[in-house]
Amino acid sequence: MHIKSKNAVIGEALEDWRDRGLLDTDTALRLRADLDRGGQSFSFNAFVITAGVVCLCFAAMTFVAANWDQMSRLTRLMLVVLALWTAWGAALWTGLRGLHWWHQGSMLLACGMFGAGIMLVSQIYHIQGNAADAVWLWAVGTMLGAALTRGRMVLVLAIGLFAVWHGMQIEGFRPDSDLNLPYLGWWGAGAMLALWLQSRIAAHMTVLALCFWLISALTTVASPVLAALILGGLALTAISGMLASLSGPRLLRGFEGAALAYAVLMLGIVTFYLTLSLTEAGFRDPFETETDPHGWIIPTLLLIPSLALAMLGQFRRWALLYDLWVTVAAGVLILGVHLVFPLPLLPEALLLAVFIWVTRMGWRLDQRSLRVIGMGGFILALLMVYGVTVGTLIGTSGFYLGAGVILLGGAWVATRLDPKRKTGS
Amino acid sequence: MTRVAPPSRPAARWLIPGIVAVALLQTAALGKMVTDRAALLRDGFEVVLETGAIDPRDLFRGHYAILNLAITRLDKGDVTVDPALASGAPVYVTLTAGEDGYWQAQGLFATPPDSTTPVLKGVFEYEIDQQLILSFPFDRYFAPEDRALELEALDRADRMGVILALDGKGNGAIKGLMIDGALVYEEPLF
Repeated sequence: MHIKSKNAVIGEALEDWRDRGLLDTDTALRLRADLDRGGQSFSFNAFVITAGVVCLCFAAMTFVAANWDQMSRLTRLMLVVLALWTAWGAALWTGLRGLHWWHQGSMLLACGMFGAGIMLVSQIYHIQGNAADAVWLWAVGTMLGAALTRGRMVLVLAIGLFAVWHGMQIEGFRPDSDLNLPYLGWWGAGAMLALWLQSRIAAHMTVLALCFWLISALTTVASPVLAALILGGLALTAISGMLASLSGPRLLRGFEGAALAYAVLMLGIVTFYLTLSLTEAGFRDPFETETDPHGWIIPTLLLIPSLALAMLGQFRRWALLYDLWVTVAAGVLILGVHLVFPLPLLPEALLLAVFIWVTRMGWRLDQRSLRVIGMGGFILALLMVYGVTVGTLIGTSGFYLGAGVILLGGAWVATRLDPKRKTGS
Repeated sequence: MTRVAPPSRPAARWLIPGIVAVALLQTAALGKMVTDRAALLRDGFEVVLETGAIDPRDLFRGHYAILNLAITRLDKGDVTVDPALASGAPVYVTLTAGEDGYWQAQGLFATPPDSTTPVLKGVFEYEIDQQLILSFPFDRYFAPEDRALELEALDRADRMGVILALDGKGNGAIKGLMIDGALVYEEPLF
């Protein structure tokens, strides 16, 4: 496992290949130049600038919170507005001179000052109303800033603020009544901006914010198991979509791998939840499916996109065709076990199988994050099975024995079928 | 210092109006908050509601006193209640002047009533034991730490009143505080 950055590893490999005569000097230099072209990578200097800006934002927030009466309210407000304009001025100056991280940091500071200004006015006039409204205004102003100035760090802040806005309203939610659907509109705007600005960190933030909304939706709806099945279907659709994009068009411009990891993680969490809800200490309402006889429809319909992508892959002979079909099979198994046949130990076995599939996919795609999720999930699943079956240890022992035999048997068959075996690979 | 190539001319041309526009819009948003509130304080109808106070702290806005407004808990028999009221939905409270100088709730409505008396907009939380529980968006009085603690330390026998400025739609802003009928704090417009 590498502990160095991708650039450092590739750079060292280039040097090594050139020294050993595997690569001519001209090609090595051209490759090195191509590697160095991304001059906007997050350096230590960028980290220090970001940390400094964050400290200044906290200074402004605590200055507001201190309610320092040695200075008049109007003076305090003017001070914050002056700081806002100074920060935007600095952003303009540094932007025109190509000081990328100073430019990004200044814009972040300006939007921090905007937030401090909102807090200050709220404090001066005792405006509390719904505190989330203030965060919403801050988020809207910040996202507008990101759109008009192409500020990547500002966009990250805006996406985070909208997630905070959503989180602040969860307390007021009532089952079946409010999932804060307008949030998805703001989230979508953030996602579009992340795609437009080609910002990887904003893309990460976008996916995390969506996961946050999905998980919060799971906790607020009246039928959490059905919601979990729907969430699982959405995760499978996302996995198929990413595999399809990786097979050809690369619509997310290289973010597919990370998005795939998030989707797989979400599927793992959902499968864990579904399995736990079936245990004896679980929390699944036994009448939930009975009261909603049509509950199977939406989760089943959500398998259609995965199936369609697999068929399209078959037609176009995509490289990841195998993984697309396995995704469909995983969806069918998860729905089958949790909707039709929740027999004893079958959900636990499926949970282990899901993480083995994820680990396998990690190796097939050579993606470390998938391998980590798969292996970590597998260990957690083993511990969970052990934990929930304490008291019937002989049964647990039998389960592990069966699982171990199946795994080793599968590994032996795979070894026998491996075409590289004879070459010692 | 990380220096990359200066932005191309089209990007630079685009950056200047972009930054100026954002700075103006953000300043305008702050300005609108200030002028709206100042106008409400200046022109709003003034009512006084009875309250108590305790002193917690807000992460962003510092110390404040929670104002336990008397009209957040009403006996069902004391007011007329619109049957359309729903838990968690807005409530419009018509007010009438009390003999002791504090304004009292007269009726609760699910929609803005056609009334000549001042109206306060809040949220109908729930009903319990024949009591109606309401909440209003002016139950916090932000103050420097010493003043917030001072408000909290008031003798229980002292009657505290919060002066509100109301507009015609039921929106209100805190204009000042009274103790035993005497004005102790008055909010400046700016």
